[in-house]
Amino acid sequence: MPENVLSCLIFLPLLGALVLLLWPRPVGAWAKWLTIGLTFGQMGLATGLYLYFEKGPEAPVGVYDLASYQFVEQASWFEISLGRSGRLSAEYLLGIDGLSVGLVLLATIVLFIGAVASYTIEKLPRGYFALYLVLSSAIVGCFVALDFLLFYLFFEFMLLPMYFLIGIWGGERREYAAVKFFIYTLVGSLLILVVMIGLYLSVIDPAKTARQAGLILHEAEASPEIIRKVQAALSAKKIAPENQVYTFRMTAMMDPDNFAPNALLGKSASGFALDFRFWAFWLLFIGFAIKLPMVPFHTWLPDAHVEAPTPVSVVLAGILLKIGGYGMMRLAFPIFPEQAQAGMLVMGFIGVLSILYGALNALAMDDLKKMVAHSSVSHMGFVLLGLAALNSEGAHGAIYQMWSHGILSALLFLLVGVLYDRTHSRLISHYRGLLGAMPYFGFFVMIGFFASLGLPGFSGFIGELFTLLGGFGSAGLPGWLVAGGVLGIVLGAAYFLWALQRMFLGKLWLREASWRDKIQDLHPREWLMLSLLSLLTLITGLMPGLVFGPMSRSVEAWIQWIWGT
Amino acid sequence: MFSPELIESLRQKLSLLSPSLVGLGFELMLAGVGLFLLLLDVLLPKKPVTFFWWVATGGLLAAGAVLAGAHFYFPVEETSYLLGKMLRITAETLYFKGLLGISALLTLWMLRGSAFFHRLDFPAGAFLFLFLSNVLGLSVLAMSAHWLSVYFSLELVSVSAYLLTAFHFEPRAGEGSIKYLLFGATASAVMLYGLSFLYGFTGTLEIFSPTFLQVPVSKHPVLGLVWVLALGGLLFKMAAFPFHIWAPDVYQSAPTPIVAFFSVAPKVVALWVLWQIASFLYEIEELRRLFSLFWAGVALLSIGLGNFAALWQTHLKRLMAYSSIAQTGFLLVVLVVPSPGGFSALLFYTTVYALMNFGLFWGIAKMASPEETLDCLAGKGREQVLAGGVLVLMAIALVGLPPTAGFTAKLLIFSGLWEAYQTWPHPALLVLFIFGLLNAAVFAFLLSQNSFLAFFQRKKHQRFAGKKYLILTCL
Repeated sequence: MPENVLSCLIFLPLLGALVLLLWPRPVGAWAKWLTIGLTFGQMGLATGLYLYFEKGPEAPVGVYDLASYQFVEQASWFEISLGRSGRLSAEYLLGIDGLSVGLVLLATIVLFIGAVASYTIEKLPRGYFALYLVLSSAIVGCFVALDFLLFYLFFEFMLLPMYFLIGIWGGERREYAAVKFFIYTLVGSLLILVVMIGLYLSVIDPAKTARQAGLILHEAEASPEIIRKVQAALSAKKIAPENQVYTFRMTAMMDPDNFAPNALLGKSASGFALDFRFWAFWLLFIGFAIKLPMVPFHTWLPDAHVEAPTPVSVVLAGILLKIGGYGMMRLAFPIFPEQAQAGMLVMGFIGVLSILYGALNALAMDDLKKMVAHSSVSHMGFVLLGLAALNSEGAHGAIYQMWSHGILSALLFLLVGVLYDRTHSRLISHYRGLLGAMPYFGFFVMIGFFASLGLPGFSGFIGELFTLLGGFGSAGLPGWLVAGGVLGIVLGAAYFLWALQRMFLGKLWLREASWRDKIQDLHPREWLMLSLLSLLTLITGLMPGLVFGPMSRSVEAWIQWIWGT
Repeated sequence: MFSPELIESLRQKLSLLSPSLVGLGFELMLAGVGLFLLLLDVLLPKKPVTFFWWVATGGLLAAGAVLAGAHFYFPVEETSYLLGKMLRITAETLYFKGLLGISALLTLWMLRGSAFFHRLDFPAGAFLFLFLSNVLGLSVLAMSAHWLSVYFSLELVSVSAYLLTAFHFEPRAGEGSIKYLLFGATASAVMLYGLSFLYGFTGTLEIFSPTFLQVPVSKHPVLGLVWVLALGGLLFKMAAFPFHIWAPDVYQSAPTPIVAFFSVAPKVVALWVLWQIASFLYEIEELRRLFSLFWAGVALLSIGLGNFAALWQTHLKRLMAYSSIAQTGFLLVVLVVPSPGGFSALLFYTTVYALMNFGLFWGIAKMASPEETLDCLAGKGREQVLAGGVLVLMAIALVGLPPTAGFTAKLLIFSGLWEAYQTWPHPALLVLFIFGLLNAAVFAFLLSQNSFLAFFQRKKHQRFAGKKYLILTCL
């Protein structure tokens, strides 16, 4: 693998977007082929990453230790002097570990599928595909950035393309949905920004501080002894403030010894009216919970999904929501481990609440797309439940559930799109007995529904199983709470099977007689997308080791880090 | 005829004057060009607008060249005083004057493209004269080291601004102008009142006189109030709470290029003066705490009031007025803690802010129809891709979303605030920190509506209905 494969992953689509935007004449059909090609290339690169990623019992762990991340790229981004109060350093720092490798692959797969699904976009193609490519850059960037500022940049940069994609190419109430999506996620990211500013002004980079204080000439010379020396000097207030180099590096933020002695977010900070670490953790948590989305911050999701065009729904459900879970794992939990431990019960409760509330909502929906959207809330609740368990099974299950839900929700939204493309109606009550008219479509719907409701053999089962196992095994979560999560599976079975029965079984009946000519079975393009996703859910359901393998070491290290052992 | 002593003393005075002449070259050029324009306006039988415009632009460029020359004349590290101790010049002053000059050039450039400017009966000479006077006043204000020169330059700026506001020659423009005049007169009276107290306390009006630091606040609690009164005139120019009331009417009625200028230049220059005063007074711990809280309060109220009031606006430029009140609040955040890091944030933010506002108003001038309501932007984004793109980009920057410079500016400003909070954990600072950052969402909502209208809609249009709901969420 080339050295800078992660940069290629990020900038390849951005380059394509530039070409599209600067193209002097109206773009032709090649725009969509360019997008499909670039996202395919991205997927190829990510598959390479996955294959070359060091797995196995001896693999480097990552998480809190920058040296053991893989495919690391590091360059100074900017370093400015803040005068008497120190220096500020931001880095272009990329790298992956077990927590992110699977999600990077998932992101590129979903983006590729989304690009293929965008084939039918006719309205303003130049803008659409340019925005889509910018979006794919930002998403991948989010998963590989190890500098908080860089992460935040990508995190916020997803917002605008998404806002325009929903707002311009969406359905009837697209404006409402786009503004709502925009404002909700912006509030979330502002909460994260608040914490980010507080954090980076509390945390120093020991190597750079050593350089600034004149202990070493170049930061590359920093040995562990030097770093310990700097940290000891820091807590003894022996380092002059102007020599302290503040950093955005995530791994530096996880080490309590890097906090300046007067920092409000430092571990030793006490005697203030507010417990800042407590608030910082919960602000981060809410920021990411909005993205995830968790009840009661989930209300943007159904609107955004229903109004977004199919490919955008696919990307939104398939990968954007995962960034919420990923952010909790990468930032909120390891930086504030004690607060995470103290908050297990609350987080577990919110997770189960989302599972049940989402499922009950889904049960009440007549619009198929709304049903799938609410089922997303329910399924992402399992992710939070797994994380809140704070044990190995739970964390494994959470990441696996993100993977599984990424594949399955993409599949489900594509299926809804297939039907909507033909008849422009998504209401369950408008159809009956579709199985006879569209047998292959019905086949994929069954795969999607059964996999989602947790049929063993498909990926959904593994994810739910492991998060629930984690929940039951967790010391911090009471059994009755987790049992509520099990009830969510039952409800899931109910709404999926009920929808299946109403729409597909029985004698063919359609709301409008004219639809009968429109409901042809799947096109080759739809075949390609649906079978790819179905295969993925089946393969990883039968061989969960494909997903668990690369992450295991990192997840173990993550759990140990949080419990401080 | 003249005694040698007299000639000698004259020579000495002249040698004292010569740095003043170089330092004031920019202002002298502006005054000269302005008067020349006024003369032309009287003398020429026909009024060729383009010719006037070229004279003004050429004069401004020449003045800019003199300003650039002054950069070499005055050593970077030193502070030079001019005209006794009335004015002073530092490297930073020259920078702000440069920013002012660039803003003026951008305004002239926008004027050239404006329809009203090319109307047959338009008194271009008088208009440009007033505009250059305004620039002149601001430029003197940027150098002021004496309360009297602050007051005089502020009056010059205000009087020309009242008249510039009225140049649409409509009843509404007259109304805006009169309101501006009334509020302005009040503000300047308030300021004079405060100054008279200051003079009474210290016996001097030199801003940077050490006497100001020797009056103990604890003995004279009224001094805090006096300071606030004295700063009123500057706050008025910045449109900061509670001196903001004029802004919407003036923005609505004044010509767009002039509004763009008003939204940038007076704020930036007044902020620079306030910065100098603040960092001077902050040497005294007592005053520092007092002023930190005062600025935090003004910033907080400006941000909140500007953003929330803007939610109800339907007129484009009124909306911009409220959002610029909020922007003033953000600018004032740097005053809460004047640290060297804060100063670089100030330089960065003011520069970025100037560019953002000119971009935004340029887009508005290009795209809006004469009634300038929010709705009139509907569908314009598709017709004018460049202006629409600029508008959206600037709006994003103004919200402070990455990867624009607007984000970096906000990051720097609020980082400074957090640092201040770490050394002095007063709840007001924390409230300002969190509330200020979260306010970006309100602002984003506003502007997202704007760019929506510009881009998404063709002819028909329906307003976003979830406003109340959103506000509830925000609260």
